[in-house]
Formats: sequence, C-alpha cells, structure tokens
Amino acid sequence: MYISSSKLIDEVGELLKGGVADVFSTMLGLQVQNIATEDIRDNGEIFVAASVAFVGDVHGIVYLYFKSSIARTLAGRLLGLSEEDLTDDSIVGDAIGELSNMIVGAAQSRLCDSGIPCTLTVPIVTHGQDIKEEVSFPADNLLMCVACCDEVIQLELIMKSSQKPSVISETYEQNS
Amino acid sequence: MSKILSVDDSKTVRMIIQRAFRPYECTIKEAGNGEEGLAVAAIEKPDLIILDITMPVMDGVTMLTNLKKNPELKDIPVIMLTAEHGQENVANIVSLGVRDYLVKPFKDAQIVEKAMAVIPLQARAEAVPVG
Repeated sequence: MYISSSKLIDEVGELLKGGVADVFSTMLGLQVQNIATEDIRDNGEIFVAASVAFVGDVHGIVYLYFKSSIARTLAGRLLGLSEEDLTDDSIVGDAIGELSNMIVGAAQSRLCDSGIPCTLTVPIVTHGQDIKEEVSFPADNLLMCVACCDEVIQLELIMKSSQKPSVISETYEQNS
Repeated sequence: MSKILSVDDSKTVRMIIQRAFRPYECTIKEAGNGEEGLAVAAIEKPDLIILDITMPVMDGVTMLTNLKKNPELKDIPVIMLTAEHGQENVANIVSLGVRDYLVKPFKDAQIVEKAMAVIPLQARAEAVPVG
C-alpha cells in the first residue's frame, strides 16, 4: 500500500512525538503530553533551538524549540546537576543537542526498518530570539507541540516535497 | 583498577558515562572524536572503549576500523553507542567486531551492565551502585 508524501510527513511526525515520549521517559524520568499546536517563537523569549537532519531516501530537517528555562531544567535533569551548577550555556546547548539527536534517531530508526534508509547529521544548536528556519528546497512543513513541566516544546518537521511514497503504515500493520 | 575510554563528541554523553561509573572502582578517560580516541587509546591502553558512531573529524566506525588494524589495540573490547537503532544499522555494527552495542536513549544501569559483562567492576566502598 503506497501513500502520499503528505501522509508521510504526518507519519514521521507521529514517530517524532513517540521519540520525544521515549527519550524523556528513559533519560529524564519525565512524561510528556501531546497538546494543540501553537507557534511559541514570536513572544520575544530566548529560545534554545536544535536541528537534526536526515538524509537518504527521504530528506528532512527537524527543529526543536525549547524556552531557555525549560532547556536548563531538562539539561540539569539529564546531567544530574542543579540549575545553579549549569553555569555554562554551552553545556545546556550540548544537552539539548543530545536529547534532540536521540529523538530524531528514534524516528530515523523506524524509517529505516520500514524500508526507507536514511542517516542522521550531527545536531546543531542555536540560542536566541525570533529564530526562524529557512530551507533551500521545495518542502512540506508540519508543526507539533508537546507539554512537559508546564512548558511547551515545539517541533517543526520540514521534509523535501515529492519524496518516495511511504510504506510505514503497512509495515506497522505487519509488525503489530 | 579498570580503565574505560569514552569516545563521544557530546560532552553530555561523556558526563553521563562519568556519572554512571562513578560508584565503581574504575577510571574514565575521554576523547571527543575518533581521531582523539585512537591517540588516547594508544597512550592509555584502556580495558574497554565506549564508542559513539556519529562524530565529526573521525566517526566511530572509522576509528573502530583503524583500531582493529593496530596490533597493540585490536583486542581492546568496544561497546558502541548509537542513536540510530534500525535493524540494518545494528547488523552493521555487529559485523564490525564490537563486543556489544547500546542504543540511545539508555539508562545508567544499562551501560554499566554491558561493561560488567566485559571487564571486572567493583563498587566503591563509599558508593551505592546505580540501580
């Protein structure tokens, strides 16, 4: 059963949300809730943004946006440090990059197991206000949000348009 | 005392490895990529290498390939860490001759358990091992 590329981006989005839940539970001992999508980047706050690309039979980039406060909370939990001990922003950025790498890695692995081979790039982390992404290819876009520790974490999935149709659903049905 | 070399470009992962083994009688050496990892391995002759795959400068697969070509280093057991845990990727890792592998995300106890299957590790007298 072949499905359209617009369905593919929805399915990869679900894999990403599953990856967030798995990584937060295993590495941080935290639960996340799926919530309605809202764009949280225009409120003038400082954000930590991580991007991880996947390249292969499908091409795409995942951006994860964390308000600075939740980024410090998550980094502290991951490293076993109090927020007072997180004196270096580069440590927070490194921790957020690693969490993002694991999240996108979980989705990438499911894609590979579904017959859509691709590899990950090294995560890139930036700090700042009004962070906006741009890509140089025709792309489909999916915005998602999850909540954790009373804060919103935003995920943006950008996938190159007109990609190979997915067989993810069929594979899931066969494996379930 | 056992000596473990942690090779990962992520300081976060290296700190997690340090924390996981803190309750045990062992020393942890660190390197930030495969090239540094080979250099540290040649000097320190660790009992175990915990090796990430995706790294800049030299990735884990290239480091492992070079390690296996070196008569002085080829027998050092390697546990690979990977965020890419698709079946094909895991099969490729196993074919490289690693002792074991661990997929991210992982708990502290999981990496300690994998290491204990390869090298002797005793709990420090004052510490409580991770559970």
